[in-house]
Amino acid sequence: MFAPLKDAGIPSLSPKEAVILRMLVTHGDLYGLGLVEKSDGQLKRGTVYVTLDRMEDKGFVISTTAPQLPGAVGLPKRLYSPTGLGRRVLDACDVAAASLLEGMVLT
Amino acid sequence: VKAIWNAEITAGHTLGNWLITQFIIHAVMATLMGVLFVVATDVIHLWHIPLFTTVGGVLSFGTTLSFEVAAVLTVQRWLGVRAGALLLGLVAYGSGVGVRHLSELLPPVLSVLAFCAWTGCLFAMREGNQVLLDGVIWAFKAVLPTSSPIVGVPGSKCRRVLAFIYTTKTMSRVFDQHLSEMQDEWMAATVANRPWLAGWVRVRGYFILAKMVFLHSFVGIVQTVVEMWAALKG
Repeated sequence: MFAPLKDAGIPSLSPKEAVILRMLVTHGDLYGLGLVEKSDGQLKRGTVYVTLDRMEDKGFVISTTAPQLPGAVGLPKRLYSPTGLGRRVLDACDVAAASLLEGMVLT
Repeated sequence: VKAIWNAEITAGHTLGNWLITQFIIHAVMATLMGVLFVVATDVIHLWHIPLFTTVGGVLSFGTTLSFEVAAVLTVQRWLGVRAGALLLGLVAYGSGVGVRHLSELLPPVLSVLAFCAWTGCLFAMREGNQVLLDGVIWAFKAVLPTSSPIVGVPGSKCRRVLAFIYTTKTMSRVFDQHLSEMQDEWMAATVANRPWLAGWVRVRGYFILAKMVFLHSFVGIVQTVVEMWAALKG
């Protein structure tokens, strides 16, 4: 959404990233599959982890390896939660979208 | 089933991730050695003795490749796949350099004879043959499907290949997460005795995995191009 402002050092937030951040802020910490299930089709299983990886690089989310239950097998899963930066970027995105809409209504 | 799966996961971590990749590498290696052979014969200028050139080339090609496969297998087995790949690159480079230097230092016939003798000696070493045999048997045992349901766990072999290509961070953040979900769903379907569902989980899982590989690579390439463009522009 803020991609043209990237050169000015302002973080960019794509629509998919905004959806993920909003869900994490709303529902609390979630697994990748939980995000897909709660997104009503906005997120796909093939893209969610690539997007989360990119968001983690940007510092919008942080992931921790979830503790496995005794006797559990398989690869460890990651639990995602929003960072302070992620929350602020989402708020800024909402404010910008609201002011843009307001401007459109006035004109 | 849980015990079997656990064993597979453990085995996957123990064996490393090089089994399929090394066959691809060796195919590339064979092609590379063929090219080296052509280059070597061209450099040494033995075209006027075609029979000698052919026999010498085939001998050196075969023996060198055999020894290199054995060495690479050993290094991969004990030091990991990246060390093996590094050795492979060094060996290929060294072979090319060796042939060139020989042709500069010795008369053409002697250089070819020396090269063949060197590789022949290496191949004749009992330890080299034993390592090669062990490595090949070990690799085939691990790669070829067996009657055991252990190989049925979806994604384990794909993971080994991907782990060679991608970093640990990417594996942990991206691909392991999907594979974990796929294996959980497959496990649930298998325990519930629903083979069709298990099959569907497997097919869908591989499709999603392919999509993820494409997406991740595409994003990486675009980022690199953008960074390069920005650097050039700046």
